[in-house]
Amino acid sequence: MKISMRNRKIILAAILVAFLLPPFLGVNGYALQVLDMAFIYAIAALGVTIATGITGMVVLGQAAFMGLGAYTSGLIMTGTSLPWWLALPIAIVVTGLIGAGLGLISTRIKEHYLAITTLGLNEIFRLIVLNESWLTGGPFGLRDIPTLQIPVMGGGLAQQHYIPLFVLTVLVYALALRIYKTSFGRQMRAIRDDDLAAESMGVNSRAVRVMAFALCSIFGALAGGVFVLTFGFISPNNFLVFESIKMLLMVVVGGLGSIGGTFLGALVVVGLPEVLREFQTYYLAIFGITVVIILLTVPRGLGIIADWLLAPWLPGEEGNALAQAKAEDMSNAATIEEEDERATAVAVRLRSEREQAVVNAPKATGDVLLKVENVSKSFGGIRALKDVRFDIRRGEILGLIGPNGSGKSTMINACSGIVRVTAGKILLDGKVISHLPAWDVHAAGVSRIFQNVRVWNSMTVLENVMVCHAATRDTHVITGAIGTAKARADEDMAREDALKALDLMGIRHLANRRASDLSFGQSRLVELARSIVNKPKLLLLDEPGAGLRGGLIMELAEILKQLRNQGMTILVVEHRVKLVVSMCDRIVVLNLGDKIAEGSAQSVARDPVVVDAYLGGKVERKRRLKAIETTT
Amino acid sequence: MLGQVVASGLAMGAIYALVALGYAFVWRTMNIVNFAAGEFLTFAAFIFVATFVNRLGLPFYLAAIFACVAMASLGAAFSRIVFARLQKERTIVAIIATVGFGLFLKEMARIIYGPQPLLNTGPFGFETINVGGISVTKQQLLVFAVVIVVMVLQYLVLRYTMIGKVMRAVAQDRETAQLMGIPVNAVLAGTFAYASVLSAIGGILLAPMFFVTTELGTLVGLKGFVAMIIGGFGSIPGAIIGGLILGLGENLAAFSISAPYKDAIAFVLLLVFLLVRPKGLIPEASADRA
Repeated sequence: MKISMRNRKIILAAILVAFLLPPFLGVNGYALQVLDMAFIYAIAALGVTIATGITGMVVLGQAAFMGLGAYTSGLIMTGTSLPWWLALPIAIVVTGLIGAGLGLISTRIKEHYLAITTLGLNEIFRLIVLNESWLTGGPFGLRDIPTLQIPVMGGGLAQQHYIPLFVLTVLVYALALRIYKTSFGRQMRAIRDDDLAAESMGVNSRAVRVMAFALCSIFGALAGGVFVLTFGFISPNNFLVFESIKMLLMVVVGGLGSIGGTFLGALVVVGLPEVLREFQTYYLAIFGITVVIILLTVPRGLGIIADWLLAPWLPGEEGNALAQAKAEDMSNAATIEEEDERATAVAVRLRSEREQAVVNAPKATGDVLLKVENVSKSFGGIRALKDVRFDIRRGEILGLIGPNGSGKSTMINACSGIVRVTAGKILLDGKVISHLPAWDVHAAGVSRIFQNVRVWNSMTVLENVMVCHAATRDTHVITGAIGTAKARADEDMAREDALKALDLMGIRHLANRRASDLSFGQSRLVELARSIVNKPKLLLLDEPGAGLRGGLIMELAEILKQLRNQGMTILVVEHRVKLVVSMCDRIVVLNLGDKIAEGSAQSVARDPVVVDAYLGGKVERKRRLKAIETTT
Repeated sequence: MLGQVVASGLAMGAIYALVALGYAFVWRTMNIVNFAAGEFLTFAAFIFVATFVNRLGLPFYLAAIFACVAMASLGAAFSRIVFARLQKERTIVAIIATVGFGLFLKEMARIIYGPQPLLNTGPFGFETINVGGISVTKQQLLVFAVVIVVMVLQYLVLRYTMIGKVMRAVAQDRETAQLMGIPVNAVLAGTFAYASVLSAIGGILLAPMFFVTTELGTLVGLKGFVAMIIGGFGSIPGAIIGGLILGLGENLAAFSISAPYKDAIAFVLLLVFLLVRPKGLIPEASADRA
């Protein structure tokens, strides 16, 4: 569809205005009440979208947060007769704090555990409200809570609240859209797409998860508080596990992770049963099976419509539309060849640049950057690393080779903080990093790429790179959402550096493409751009050449040399002997978790122990040679 | 009194253990948790009571067998049509989809059989017998007998028959199993069918102890999952032990601390275990393979 962004804004504005009309057109109070309910659920379900759809944590207890907000504000108003504009914020803060506390637990509990835990908490909430009737009114609920009267709007409560509720909903959704685009939004999405990659590229997943959980509960509490103000009556039956599941339905119908879709989902799930009353008996069964069908066939759900309308406010939608158009008029084979050509061209350019600048290239200085001290790692009974020690000197490219299963990947994982060492330690610039969480290791200056490319598929190439930038590392939800001068400056800096990094890889033209649309080779380059945007002291490369074609291999080798010339230190695990020999200053050889050799490429290649490890040999001979090696 | 509390706790625990076993089997072979397991139990109880006993007038044991066969077919069909597709999806998608299917199944039970609770007195009514000074209902004894027989049969089949070997092979390495000519899809469907039968047995045994409502299985299903986590995610002996501990602990705590909060106890226990011993009592060695 070729409707410009400007026209989409106009269409959206028209729809929003249309939503304001019903009270003035004499729509009956019941219909307005249903819509009010839909708006309230839309706010609560937005919390679920943030936690579940965007951050990837299954929350099956949003009704409990909603209930917590409702009961807290209701009890404050009936018990202390404080006005609503004090009671509501207090309820939101209280619920938000509880949500953050649960978020802390949720960092230790994932997936199935989190689903059952939140469900269980919802059940516990119900039992408490039901049984502590001295406080909550028990099964009869809280009655006669002062509702908010807005006589200006005329008519009954449903009509009075219609426009304020709609405006509130729009504001909350605008806020969510804004957060989605900030660094915090990127971090949430990175965690959802691949949390391991996010953590090792500097995303403090613990802080982000806690914040996302807190946001989820805050939106729930807001919805609950508004519910009380609109209806003046709450009972345990309003906040059952069933309601939580209903909100999950809204999120899924709206397309898991789509903000605008959630609103449409809430309208459908609340409104449809009222419109089609004769299907009342069947609609829940239909919704249940619809969830399965949507998830398996059209996972974007109603988000297809909503995201199209909201495209001017979503990252990368424009680039995505362009990419689709481009993909249509070009056959796949042509793009692969084109890519190969482009890669070769970049390689040639980089080489000539290097040869011109070769005079002032810094030489490896010889002082130690990373020190691996007697590191051992066991997985159950298997010892993947045994007392390994070696140094990486500043400014060198060190190759780490060894047969399959020799512990190379474990070594890289240990250096990047993903794997805790069982014994020994790893020091960067004299400071121990082997006990730090992965994101702190990244902050200290260690960056990496993975053996199997791990980009964040749902995000644009530019966003993929920006996630790893130091300026936007800390999770500033509030300043980001407000858009303070500093937040904007940081954002600009991150964008600029990210574009520079993409330029170095020769893929700047892909910046607005979605990472899932890229070829394997392109993804590899994105990963590389992502790992250097932060100007790390040490770059860990786990088989960077695996699965790449000729032109890209050349480009890769040239890029690495260029990085070294810029003063970066590189540890590379690689199988292609030619690449290793041409690239590395020194080589460390692992076999079955032991370091068996270390030295220049030539000396290592001639080392009989290494030859034995790769090609096999007699056991006695191996033992004898090992003895010789340790004495020399 | 305490003796009766223990006896009824263990009987309930035995049912949790059945459901937990279903989770463990499905997890080991398919790496997915079926959040609809409780609704399978509900549906089985309805089919058993409303269709086979009340409508067709079959005797208890025959009706039970028919209900198991029906649930096995439903399970196999669900496994092929929905579950197999979910395997390629992210965990969160699989969780939500099974929750959705559970809602569907629960609502279907309500649509087909109506909202009124059904009563089935079972083969024994409310007869009790005296075992060592404790009065135990015959229904509870039936639960123990059935669960013990199921466990023993299951152990023998898994250990000594070709079916068992094939199942274990698929659980350990699906690709290799496929390359060795094992009909993997059939085995997965069979495993799921077996898990459904375990849920069905749970429903049939529960039916005479409670009214059959659409809510019958929901909490039992969730608590069965809690039992599996307590015992050790995916561990078969863990599922049995976890179920018994949960049933017993729940009843004892309800008896001595607070009856109204009985249903909360399982979840509090879950939280404690997740924080103190997240891998459960008998950690599964290959739990980290994902």
